[in-house]
This record gives sequence, C-alpha cells and structure tokens, in this order.
Amino acid sequence: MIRLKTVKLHKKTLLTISVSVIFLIGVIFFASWVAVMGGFLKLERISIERNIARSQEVIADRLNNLSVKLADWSTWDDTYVFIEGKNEAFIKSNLTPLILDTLQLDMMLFFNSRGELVYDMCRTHEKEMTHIFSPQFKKQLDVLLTHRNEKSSIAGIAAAFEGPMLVASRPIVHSDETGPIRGTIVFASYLDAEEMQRFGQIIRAEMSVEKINNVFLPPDFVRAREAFLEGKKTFVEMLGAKNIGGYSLLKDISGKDVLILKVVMPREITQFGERTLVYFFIALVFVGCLFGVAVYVPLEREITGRDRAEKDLRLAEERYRELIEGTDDLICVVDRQGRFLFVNHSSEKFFGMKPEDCVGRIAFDFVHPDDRQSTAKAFEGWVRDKEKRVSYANRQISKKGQVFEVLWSVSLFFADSGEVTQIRGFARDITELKRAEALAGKVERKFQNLIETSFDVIWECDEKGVYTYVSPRIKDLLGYEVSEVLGRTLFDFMSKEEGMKIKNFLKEKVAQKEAFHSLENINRHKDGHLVTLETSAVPVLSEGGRVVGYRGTDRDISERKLAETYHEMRDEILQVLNESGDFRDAIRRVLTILKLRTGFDAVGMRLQDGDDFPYFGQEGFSKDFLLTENTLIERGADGGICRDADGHALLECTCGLVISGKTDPSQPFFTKWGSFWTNDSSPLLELSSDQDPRRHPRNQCIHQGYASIALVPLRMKEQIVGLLQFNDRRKGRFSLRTVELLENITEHIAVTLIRRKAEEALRESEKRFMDILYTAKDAILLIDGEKFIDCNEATAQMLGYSTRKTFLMAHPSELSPPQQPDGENSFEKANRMMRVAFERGFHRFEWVHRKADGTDFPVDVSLTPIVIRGKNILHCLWRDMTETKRLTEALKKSHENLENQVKERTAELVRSFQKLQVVDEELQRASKAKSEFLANMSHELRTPLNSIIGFSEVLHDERFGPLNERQKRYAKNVIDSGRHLLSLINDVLDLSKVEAGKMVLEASSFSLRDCIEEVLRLMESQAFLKEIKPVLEFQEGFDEVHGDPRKIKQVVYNLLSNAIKFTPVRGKVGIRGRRIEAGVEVTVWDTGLGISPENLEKAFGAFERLGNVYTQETEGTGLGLTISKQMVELHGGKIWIESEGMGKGTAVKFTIPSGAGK
Amino acid sequence: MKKKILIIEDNERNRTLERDLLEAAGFEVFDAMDGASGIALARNEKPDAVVLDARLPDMRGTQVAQILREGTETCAIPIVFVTASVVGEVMEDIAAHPGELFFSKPIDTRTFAEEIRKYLGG
Repeated sequence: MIRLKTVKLHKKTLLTISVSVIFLIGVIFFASWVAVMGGFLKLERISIERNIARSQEVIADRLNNLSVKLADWSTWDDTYVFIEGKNEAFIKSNLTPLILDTLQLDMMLFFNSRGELVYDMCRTHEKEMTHIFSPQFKKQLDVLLTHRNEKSSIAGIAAAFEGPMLVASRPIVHSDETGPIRGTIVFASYLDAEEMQRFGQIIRAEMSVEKINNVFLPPDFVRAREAFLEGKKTFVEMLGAKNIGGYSLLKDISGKDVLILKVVMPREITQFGERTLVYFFIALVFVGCLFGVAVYVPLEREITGRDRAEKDLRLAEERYRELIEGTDDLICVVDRQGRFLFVNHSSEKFFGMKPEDCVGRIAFDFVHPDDRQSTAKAFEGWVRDKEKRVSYANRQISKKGQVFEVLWSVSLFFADSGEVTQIRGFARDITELKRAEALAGKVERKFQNLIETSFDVIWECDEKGVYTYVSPRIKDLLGYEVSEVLGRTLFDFMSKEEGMKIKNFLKEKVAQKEAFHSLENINRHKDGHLVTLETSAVPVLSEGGRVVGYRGTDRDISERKLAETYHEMRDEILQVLNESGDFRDAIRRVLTILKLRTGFDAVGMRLQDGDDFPYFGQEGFSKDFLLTENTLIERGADGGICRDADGHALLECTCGLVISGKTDPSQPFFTKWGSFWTNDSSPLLELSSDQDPRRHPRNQCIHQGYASIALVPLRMKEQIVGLLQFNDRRKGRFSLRTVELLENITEHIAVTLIRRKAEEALRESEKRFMDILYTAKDAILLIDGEKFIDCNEATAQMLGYSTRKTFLMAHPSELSPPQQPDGENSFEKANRMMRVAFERGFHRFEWVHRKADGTDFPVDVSLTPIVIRGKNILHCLWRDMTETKRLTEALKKSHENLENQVKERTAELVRSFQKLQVVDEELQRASKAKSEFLANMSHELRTPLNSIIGFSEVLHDERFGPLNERQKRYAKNVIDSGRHLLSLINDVLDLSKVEAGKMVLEASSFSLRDCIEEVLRLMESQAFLKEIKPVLEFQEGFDEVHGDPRKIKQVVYNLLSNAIKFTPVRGKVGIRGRRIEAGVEVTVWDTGLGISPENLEKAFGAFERLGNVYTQETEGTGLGLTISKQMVELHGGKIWIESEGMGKGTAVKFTIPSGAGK
Repeated sequence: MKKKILIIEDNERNRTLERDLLEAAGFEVFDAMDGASGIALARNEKPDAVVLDARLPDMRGTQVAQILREGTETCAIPIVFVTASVVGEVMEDIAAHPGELFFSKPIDTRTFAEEIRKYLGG
C-alpha cells in the first residue's frame, strides 16, 4: 500500500513538473514568437515597400533617360531643317536602320507642326503603324504632340495595342532652344517582358506589369486592383511561403491608372526570423528539460525520504505495540510522585490488577515488604548518582499475595534541578530461573572442578566439529587459550591432510551415531611443533535422536609416539651401521634415514679430519651453506690457525663450541650431554657478544633461515670426534625429549663409528702396504731368517724367474755369485748385512745378484726389520742398478765432452766480442766526432758572423754617425755576404741532421693553403724587385694536410725562392695546389731558364748548382733542393722536376700523403 | 735611475757589439769575459739582467745560470741567453725555465736592446 502511494506521488510530481515546464515553454515561445515574428514581418513590409518605390523609380529613370536622348534630336538644327524639307540626306546619314538599336528604342516618330507624321522608324514597321493609328494610341498621341513652349517635354506610359509603352516627346526647335516649334519627335519603347527583366536586374527583384483593365488579370493582381479601388496606394501579398509581392499603380501620360506594377522578392527576412525561432524553441525545450530534472531529482529524494521515515515510524510503532502487548514482562512508567502513569497488560500477573486500575497507584506498594527498605535505599543512591539506567533485582508482591523474584531494568529521567521527573521500568519474572540456577550451580561446580583438573582435555563440539566447549587443559596440550579455540573446528589445529582425514572420519561417525575411542590424530602446537593426540568421544543427541555434536577427551601421546619413532629409527640405523661395506656410504644412508624419519630440512655429520671438523656427510644443506660452513677452524688475520695453550685448534661457531665440549649445561640452550638446541634461532642475532652463548658466531644457520637447530656431539669414549646437526626452517621442531632421543641415537652411532673406524684403518693400512708391495717397480720381498716369505712380481722379473712362486722356491744361495766384487763370501756377507740391519733398524748397501740365466748384475739393497704377527722379519727392497750404472758412465763421458766444447766456444765468443767492441767503440767515436764537429762548426762560424753582421748593420743603419753612399753600400754588401754565409751554415746543419736521422717530424694538422700564402708574403719583396707577380691556383678541397708545418713551409720557401731566383725580370712564377687520391700535390712553376733532361736527376744532389747563366745574380747555397727532397721524403712524399728543356721553364712538384707524420 | 745590465761574453767583438747596443739604448752596462768573473760581478753589482753567452772559456753558460739562480743575492736576476748553438744544453735549460729570454746568434741589432727592455718591463 505504501509502495503504491509512493508511486502515485512520483507520478503526480512528475506530471506537475512536466505540465508547468511545458506551459512555461509554451508561454515563453508564444510571447517571443509574437514579438520576433511581428518585428520580422514589419521589417519585411518595410523592405517590400522600399522595393515598390524603387521599381517605380526605375521606370521613372528610364523615362528620364528616354527624354534626355530625345533632347539631343529635338534641339538639333539638322532635325529642324529636316522636318520642313524632309531631305533624304538627313535620313541617309542619321536615320540608319541601326539607330533604333543604338538608342534602345522601339519607335521614332517625327511629326511636323501640323501634326503630320513626317517620318517614322519602327522595329516592325507594319505593326507599329497600325498602332499609331489605332484610336487608343491616337488619343494619347494628342497629348504627346501638345507642347505649350519650346522647352516642354512629355514622358510617361502610353497604352498601345501591343502593350504599354514608355513614351517621350519634345518639340523640334533650334539648337539654342528657340522656336518657332516646327514639330514634335516621339520616342517609344515597349514596356515588355524583356524591359521588365532589365528593370528587375537593376533593383534585384522580379518585376512585371499588367493592364488594370485586363480581363484575364491573374488573381493576385485582381486582389491588388480591389485594394487600389478602396484607395490604397500600394498592396502587399504573400506569394506562398517563399515570396512576397508588392503592387502599385502606374498612370499613363494622361494621368489615368492603367498599369499595375508588381515587384516580387523572396521572404528571406521572415525565413530568417522563423529559423531563429526554431533555434530558440530548441534551446527553450532543452533548458526546460534541464530545469525539470533539476527540480524533480531533489524533490523526489525528499518525498521518498519522508515516505521511508513515515514507514519506519509506523513499523516501529507496530513493533513496540507488539512488544509491549506480546511480552510477559512488566513495562511501566512512573511519575515524580511515584504513581503509575502507564502499565502494560502484565500488571494482571505481577500486581493482580488490570492495567487501567494500576494507573495512579503508588508503585512502591507492590515491592515485597522485606525488600522495601533495600529497594528504597538503592533508589536514593541512583537519584544521588544521577544514574540514568540501572538493573536491579528484588521481590515484588501482587495484590493476591503472590511473590515474584524480579529483575528490573530501570531508566530514570532527571530535570535540570536534579529532581526525578519520570521513571520507566521493565521487569522480568526470574523466580523459576533463580530456583533452577540454585540447583544447577551445585552440580555444575562439581563437574567443572573435575573437568578443569582432568589430565585430559575435555571438549564438546557440534556436528560440524566446531568447538562449543573446551577445558583449560588445552593450553598445556596445544598452547592455545580456551577463547582462541572456541568457535574453531577440531581440524583447524591439524595439517590440511590430517584435517581432511579426521573430518571424513567424524562425518562417518555422525552418520552412524557412533562413539569412537583412541583415535590418533596429529595436531600442531601454537609454537609449531607437532603433538599427537589420542581422542575418544561420544555423540551428543538431540531430542529427535539426531547427532548434534560430540563430547570427548584428548590425551597427549606425543611423547610415547616420539619415543616409538626414535626407537624404530635407532634400530634401523644400527642395522645399516652393522652391515659391512663402505663406511661413508653407510653414514650417508644413516643421514638419509635421519632426515626422512625426523622430517628435518637438513641433517649433517661433522667428523674430525686433522684439526678441522668438516661435514663427513650431509643431506639437505645448500652448496652456499657448505662452502662457508664446511670448515670450523678459527683463523687469525694472517690466515694462520689459532690455537689454544694445549695446541688444539680453536673452532668457531656453535658447532665449534659443541665439538670443543665448552657447553654450559646451566644455559637453556645446552643439555647435560653437551648438545645445543634452539626452537627459534632469530633472537640469537639480537644478543650482545658478552651474553651470546656461542663463541664467534657466524650466524650462517640463522641467515639461511633455519629456525630450529640441534647440534649433538659424537662422543668416542672421553673424546668428542664430531657432531650430528639437525636444521629446520620451521620454529619449534625440538623439545628436550627429542634432543635426548637424538643423543641416544648419536651414542649408538659413535660406538659403531669407533669400531668401523678401527676396522677401516686396519684394512686401509694393509691394503696400502699390499698395494705398494705388488705394484712397486722395485723388487720387494720379506725374509724370515734365511727364508723368503713373500715377494712381488717385480722381484721375480728382476731375477729372471717366470713367476713369484718359482722365485720363492729358489734357495737364497742361488741368487748371488759365490763371491761379491770385494771378494767376500756372499753367504757370509749376506748374514753380516742382515745383522747390521737388525742392529741399526735399517741398512743399505750394494750387492751383486745372479739371475736365473746366470748373469750377474748390480743391485741396491735396503733392509728394514719389521714385526709381523709378533715375528721379526726383514723387509727387503732391491733396486736394479745395471742401467743406472751404465747411464752414469755414459753421462760422465758426454759431460766431459761437452765441457770441452763449451770451453772452446766460449773462448771464441769472447774473442769475437772483444773485436766487435773495438769496432763499435770506433764507430761511436766517429759518429760522436761528426756530431761534435757539426755543432762546433756551427758555433764557431756563428760567433764571428755575429759581429760581422752585427757591426755592419749598426754601420749601415748609421746608428753612431752618418756614412756616405759608397760606404753604406759596402756595409750592405758585408751584411748580405754574412747572411748568405749564415744560411749556408744553417742548411749544412739541417742536412747533417737529416742524414743522421735526427730530424724529427713535429706533425699536426694545418692549412697548407695558409702556409703557402705565408711563404708568399715572405717572398714579396724578392718578387717585387724582379717585377714578378706570383700566380696562385688552388683546386677545390685543397687545404688541410697532416705534417710538420715548419718543414713543409721550408720546402715551399726553397722552391719558390729558386723559381724567383732563376726567372728573369717580368717572368712568370706560380704555385698550383690540388688534392690527389693519396694526399696533396703542390707545383711550383716558373718561366725561367729550365733544366736539360740529363740534369733532372742531378738537380737534387748536394751542392749541385747546374751550370747556369745567372750565376752572378743568383746567390744560394745550392742545398735548397737537396734539403727539400729530404724533407718531403721524411713526410713519405715525392719530389720531382718537370722541364721541357733549357729556357723553357721549370715545374717542381711534390706530394704530401694524407697520413704523413702519423 | 739607469737599469744595470751585465754581459758575460768571451768574444771581445761580440761583447763590444752588445755593450754598444745596450748603452745606446740607455742601459748601464758591465761586462765580464768569463763565468767566474761574471758571477763575482753579478754579486757585487746586482744587475737588473744578465746577458749570458752559452759558451765561456771556464764553464758552460748553463752552469753560470745555475750558480746565479742558486745564489741568495742573484737568484732573482733574469737571465738572457745569447747562443750560437741551436741545439744542446742551452735549449734544454731554456725549455726548463720558460719565460726567460733567448737570442740566437747572430743577433738582430735592430731589436736586441728593445726586446731586453721589454723583457725587463719597460
């Protein structure tokens, strides 16, 4: 019902909003439509009126035009003459057939003063003529021909048969517009469709005319005519939706309305107005919708919200009424005087009165008399403490005297003054409850004690296995508080697999309604270790006989189970250890068993090996772990082993501590046996070094994530020879009991180990001995008195016997010649030697033996007395010396030989070396002498040159007084000669440096172009003197080179200076540069005297001045080309001369490869 | 006051040339013809510069330069080498003491004094 109402309300709201929005839109739109459209229509009207006016103006313009044209003709003297005389010449020259087109006329009429048509021109002569003389036109012609004065002019519309015409007439007068009037000229032009179209184009609107008296006038014209008849000047009519027509009257020349003129124009303005209105309407609708939504949404929310609140209120009311009416409890309201204001129907039970009878009665009267005092006291207390809500139990008594135990829940209301204004009470009859409680309390307490003190855990669960009760003993078994267990299932404390198993088991039992006994199940303790429980339980049945849960006991049988497991494991291990076979293999199998049975992540055994205790075997440790942890020895900074006062190596880490037996049983980590164990290794990391029970901990176990660690020493008698290590990543894998059981197993392993080790050692040593005996190259045999006990194959071979057996059967006397080389009897000597061996413990000597085939051979004998099974026996080793002796001899000889040869060769070598030394010294001396000579020469020559050039310069510069011309010239000569000598010295020095290989390239990248230009600047004055202007030609890309810029510059300088030197005055000299494949090529050319072909090669020789004619003028050292050649070649380049012959000029070319000097 | 210059040069003509050039340029000039007397003169006169020949009869120019550079009174005196050799010890000494002036023989009489003046700072 409520929902329906809400829906209705929604609809109503929606409708109201929609209607008001639509109405609003309608009103706004209508108003704007009226306003806008009215405006636009008005605008349109104005526009059409304007067009009507313009259309009339156009026609008036045309008439005016006609009249002006006409004036030309009417005020022309020729016309004046013509109209009287009608001369043909005028017609021929002026009234040509083309004249109508030129003047845009349809008709020209010339009348004389008498009104006779003198001449006429028409487009279609026949037709017009009829017109003119049609009575209709004739009447108008009268008007046209009537001119009151010379300047008169008539223009207007004339109706003709064919249609209306535009006509103009003027009197024919002199050109100065003086009379007398000789006649009249009339111009006429049809107002036909063509003309109307032209007019239309001018005003840009369609124009047409109709005669007003036309019988077949189109309906719109008819309407216009009617309007005009009513006296209107213009008429406007819509021509459909798109066009509008404007109509006006046209009068003819006689002033009669004859034509209706129509102007049509498109209704662009109205259309625009309509479009605007459409857009406006769309915008309006959109805004209206938005507005509607904006109003509707919050309104709707408000309405539904209010609806819901009303609904809730109603529901609450109903609920409360039901509560108040349906409850057995008493509900009452008491005023400040303590009188009932309201009581529910339960008053009949509690007070023995109807509710309406209770109102106004004192509430306190119904309290049991025994409790009145305490209740009143309690009430006072509440008022004092301003308690708002209290619970209180007392006894009530009804009118009928029935007593109830009542539990009150009271709400008190206070005024600001602290006075009580109202009390609301809620009372429950707890009489029965109290009675039952008293009874049950006794029984329960008894059982509770039993349960809580029980050794077993007593529990209760529902049919799904969820604990509903558990005795506190659970904490001892599984480590959980009771509160942690309640609400969880039995299986939550088991592994997934075990849980599933037990869950299925329980399901089965629930179905069969069976009890179960001694069910073993493995649970996980809170600290992670596993606990085996033995569970027995009986089903709890509902009244309908359905199983609703189980009630049972758990007993911890872990210890028993553990002991069983470990005993089985020990037996298995002992069996493996007692089997014969490889010891290491046995240990590996033992470790496998240990790892498998205990389930630990890693198991290892350390055994003594020298000072260290590496892993003898292990299962489960990572390679990284073993890499760092295999050795335990503590090493000093120098890498040496650290030892204690007794010389024992110090061992690191907890393993070392256990092996060294330095464990303190008072610490919780260690057992009496000397084992170490922990269930959570990580706290060890936090310990400070003085508290840490481990010595030099490496913490590798902890870093590798092992939380549970146990280290059990392997004790052999008093000594610890190693340990067994058990690691697990999980916490809580050990208990003291586990460690004790492991210790027990370790003890057994140790015992077996002692035995196995002893056996192993014996077997090893025997085997080793026999191996040596049998595989030795030397003969080894055992002698007991005079008898051979045993020997190896080598013995038999050495003495030439086929087998060991045949050798052992031979008598010792057969094995030696009767006498030894020193002449002593072999038998006696042998006995003596054996005696010596027994006395000294060892004896070695040389002996000659005899082989089976009778040949004697030298033997090196070693005798060692040994004890085998209590007997003194000689261990005898023979080494065949035949080959050794032979080799020694040979070696001795060859050595002597060699020594002689070496001596000879050495002597030779020394001699030739001495010779060489002498030669070398001489050479060095010579080279040094040359260098010194050159340096000295340079210095010695420069020293006097300094003063020669210096003084002559001072003289020449007239620094200390003037000279005459001649003296000055002489001084100049001295300077020039001095400088020449200097350059000679420099060249010689350069040359000698190149030849000595001392010239070093100081290479860099530089612009050869710049370098050449620089040289050119230096030579400028020389060239100027000879009136030579050097020509430079550089090819594109010729620029950067790599080389020694100073040396290349010198080459260019030498060549250019030669070119200028050997070229006559006003000759030509030039430099060409181009890039070639492997570098650059520079050509220095001139038009000088040239070189003959046979001299081309010689030119580069030192001091080669080729026989020439300019000797007097051309000073030079003659070393320029030689030095240039050396320098170019130093760069890896080439230099050559090209000349056509004597007198034909020279071109010297050189190349510098691109990689020069690199 | 005139700046003092000490010329140590064994060749009498060259010594005269340098002396004349420097005096003409307005320096007060002392001269010595060997290393030992040159060093003694340098200590006494404390010249503003020493013009030193690379080869002297009693010792090498570089040795004279070294003794002067080590002496407490003479260590600050700038040394101007005049040498006929373009290779050898002098060049090494010059390379080791950049900033010192060096003339190669034959000297340019037109610039000699001027360059020394510039070198001494005006």
